Amino acid sequence: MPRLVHTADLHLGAPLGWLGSRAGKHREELKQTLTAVTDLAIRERADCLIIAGDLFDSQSPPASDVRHALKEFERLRAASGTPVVILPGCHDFLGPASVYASQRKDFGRHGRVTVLGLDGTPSADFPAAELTVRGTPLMSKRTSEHQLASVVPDPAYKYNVAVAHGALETAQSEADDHPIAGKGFAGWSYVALGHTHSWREASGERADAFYSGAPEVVGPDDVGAGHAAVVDLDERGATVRKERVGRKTIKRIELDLTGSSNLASIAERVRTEAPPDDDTILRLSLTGRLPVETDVESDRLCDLLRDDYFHVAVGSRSYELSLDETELATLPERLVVGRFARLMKEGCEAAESASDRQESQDALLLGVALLQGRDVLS
Amino acid sequence: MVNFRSFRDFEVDLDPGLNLVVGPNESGKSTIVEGLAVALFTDPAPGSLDVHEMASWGTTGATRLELSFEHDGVTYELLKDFGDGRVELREQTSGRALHGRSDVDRRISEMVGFGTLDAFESVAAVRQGELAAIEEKKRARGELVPMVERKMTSSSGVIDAASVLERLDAEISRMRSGIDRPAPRNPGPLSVCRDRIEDLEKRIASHRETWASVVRTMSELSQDRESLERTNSELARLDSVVRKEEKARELENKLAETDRALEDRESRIGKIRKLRKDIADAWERIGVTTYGEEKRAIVNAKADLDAAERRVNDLKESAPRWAGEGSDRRAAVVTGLVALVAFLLVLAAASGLLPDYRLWLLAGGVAAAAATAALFRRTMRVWAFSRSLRVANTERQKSATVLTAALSTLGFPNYLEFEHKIEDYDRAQRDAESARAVLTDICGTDDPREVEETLESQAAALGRKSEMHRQELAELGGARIGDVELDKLRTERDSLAEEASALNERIARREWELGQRESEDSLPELIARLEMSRGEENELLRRLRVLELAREGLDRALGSTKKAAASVLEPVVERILSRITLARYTDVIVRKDLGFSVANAGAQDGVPDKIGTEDLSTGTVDQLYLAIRYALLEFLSEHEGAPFILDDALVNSDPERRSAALELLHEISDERQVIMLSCENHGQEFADRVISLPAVNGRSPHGMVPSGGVREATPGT
Repeated sequence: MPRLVHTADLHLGAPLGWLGSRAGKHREELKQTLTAVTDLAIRERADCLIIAGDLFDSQSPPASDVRHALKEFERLRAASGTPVVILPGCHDFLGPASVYASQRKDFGRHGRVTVLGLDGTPSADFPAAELTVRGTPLMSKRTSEHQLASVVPDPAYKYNVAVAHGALETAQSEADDHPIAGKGFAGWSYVALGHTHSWREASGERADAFYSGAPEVVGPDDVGAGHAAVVDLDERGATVRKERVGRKTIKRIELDLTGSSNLASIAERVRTEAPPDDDTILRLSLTGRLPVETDVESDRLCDLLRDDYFHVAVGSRSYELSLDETELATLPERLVVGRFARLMKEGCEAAESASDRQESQDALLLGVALLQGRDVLS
Repeated sequence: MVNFRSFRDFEVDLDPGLNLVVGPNESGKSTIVEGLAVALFTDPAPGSLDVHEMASWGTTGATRLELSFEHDGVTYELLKDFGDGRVELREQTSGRALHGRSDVDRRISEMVGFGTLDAFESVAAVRQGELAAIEEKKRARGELVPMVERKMTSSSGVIDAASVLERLDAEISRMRSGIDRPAPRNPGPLSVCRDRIEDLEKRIASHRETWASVVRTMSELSQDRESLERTNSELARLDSVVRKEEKARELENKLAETDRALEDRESRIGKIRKLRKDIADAWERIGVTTYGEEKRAIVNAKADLDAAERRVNDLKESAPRWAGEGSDRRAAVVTGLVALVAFLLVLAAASGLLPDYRLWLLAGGVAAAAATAALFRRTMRVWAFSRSLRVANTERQKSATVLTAALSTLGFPNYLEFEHKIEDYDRAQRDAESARAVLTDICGTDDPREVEETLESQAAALGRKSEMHRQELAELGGARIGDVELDKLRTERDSLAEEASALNERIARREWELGQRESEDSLPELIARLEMSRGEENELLRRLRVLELAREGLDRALGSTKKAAASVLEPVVERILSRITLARYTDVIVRKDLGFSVANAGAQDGVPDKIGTEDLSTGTVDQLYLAIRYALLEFLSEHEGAPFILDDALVNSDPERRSAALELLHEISDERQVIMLSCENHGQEFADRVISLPAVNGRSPHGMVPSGGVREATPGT
């Protein structure tokens, strides 16, 4: 019975600018994640390692990342003889400038690596395991062509595995986001999917299909990332096991700031909800209502928490300055500050977008602070 | 006021008009005003204020404040209990009460016109020294304006809106520096950020342009790697052949060497064995007989015999003869002749035949005697010889007998056989010794057996080694090619090794080149930095928009506040100033910038003379100041909301100024409650109620003075 290790979306060489000063470190960690996936394939003595798209973050990834990938595939070949099947995804799509094309000899040299679609290769066949792996490579960043539309199972093989990279077609999905129709799963022993960075089952009635998710956090919203799938195929179908290979975890915390008065207490509340951990990436959403004189600056909050987590960012700020009648009374209309607050509040209410409203709110905060004699500009 | 500051239980009634609270320092005048403010604006919830600091000294009870006041004809009772945090605002007539803090705060704010204690104290209270400051700086035209602006800006009263606007302008200008116009020296953060973005974009573009060359290098690298692999493979094949050949040759050499050594060992073993056999044979030949004493006896007897025979022979050879030979014979003949002659002479002489016979006789006699003596001696010698010969023969005979006897003891019939036997023995012994010497020479030791064993062991080992080499050679199949061909293969191999080395170097150099590009200008790193810089730019732009929004809002707020203030302040100040100056100054002009000027009522042609504040007398300035402060209170707290409070505000004024001010306050008190705190009793004539507070000794609670409306609720406690 063939055993597969299925992963996708490693995005080696991704800039990771959203991680700020930690970007370089995490780029190195992405390489280590590929090593962890290789180790998993060796440990499981897999018959095939499938990478369902976006092994690299771009068509022209850094040479060191390419070398690392080739070295890992060579190690895999030497340790367990496991072949690797790569599907070019929407980031490392196939084309003349693609790393797969420009370094086809390097990929070819490793013998056991098959890049689907490269030089017309339609499939990777493993007769000894009665297994064939098939898929259509992506040729552009966006397309509305259906994945798997032109790929059909081969009855000569007992186990037919499809590989696709794109978004499962739903009412909400974008038309040009490499759509994958669930009905296309029929006839396949297993469908290895990539593109969605979180672990997700997409099985239809007639086939098992999974998004393995990214094996490591790549984007700020990769909450379910960090796993690879170990798939055992038999006559009845696929048995899929979720194995942890990544290190980083994204934790989202929504913090109601109502009643908070200072940054230190807010930081302490964050630490209580998410215990400090070097492998945690914290995404904070601040909500609630605050007195107008409260001065919450997300940058300062991030600075306070910087040493406790791998990275901290305030993802959305939806808290509002409360300016109800009682609080407005503390800013008499006849004082400049009162008039100013009312003017700005009108501006907030009239704002057409959330960002305009946020700006008006910040201007209100800033003006009130300055009019109350607080030195907030230095 | 219960347990508040220096009051344990204190109550005071204030008149709706002008109240004069008189008392020395530390008598509690300010505490009355503070109590009023705290009662109105402070949250009594535990923790909202330092209750211990507020509480009376030496008491443990909770602070409680009750305020009864009238607003719009309705009497209210306000209670704040700082012990249990209770708040209550009750309408006396209807009995309706509010208990929620926010509800009470809102209602108080509506009635008083202020929502905070700061605002109340800033606007409603004129402090000691304020008038003096105005007096000192009266010629500084701008002093009144910032004061008014500060009072109008915010409840803290520490900053005026104009300077906030200036700060915002400065910050906006700093942010924009270098954006709209060149800023060669000190570009703003936005400009710096945009420059950085531009630089990063250029570097990324350049990086992308060079990507083609990187791809080419990678492709070349790939080709080099392939070539290297092929070369290494061929190199390995050739090397294997060459090594096999070399190994075969080495094995052959080793085998030959081993065989030679084995042969040498076997030869030496053969020699040793032969020598040992020779020695054994020799000893066997000699037998065990050594004869010992017998041999010595024979040898001695033989020696004795030989000596005896030699003596006999010697004697025989030296036997004296009468007619000897040579000189002896001639001597004997001469001697005989001499004797004959002598004899004849003697005869002749005796016969007298000779003349002188005597002489002849003598001569013959001597000669005869001499010849006779010679003949005698010869005869004696012959006799002695015969005797010696007999003895020698006897000796020889004896020795021969002894020898025969000795030989017979060993069974030798004669000495010749004995002598042969002895010669054989000696020869065998010499042979054995010679063989031993050779053996010793070969073995280098006196123990040839040990050497032989060692050699045998070595030979066995060499034999095994030889066999092993033969087997290895058989496995290798032996050397298959000739030396010339091998040399050719070697040359080819070395050439391939050089080629591989060159390829390796080239690959390393290309990898280094690629590595350099990565380390110096890693595209992901540049993109990450660009993303961060763009984020920073967005943040800065956002901050700029926020600053500009704040600035615009503040400008509008300040403009509308000033406009509203001017319209309220001008009639109030004018009305009060006109009344207090007995219509000397009937017109007060409040400009848009809140600058004040007054107009003289006695102006010619109905056009009033505008007089700036700097040209007014000190007393008039004080009045103007108080009128403006009052007008501000009117502006900010309309409808008789807050009382107008003067806390020792006139303490430094001369009697004339004080009198003018009191007059004004008296006027004001018709419209709004005035509470004036003073250390002195001046102005009682203007006061509707005078409240005198006694000096306090130590920490004892206040006693009561039956003047005004003050009483101690629980005397002596």
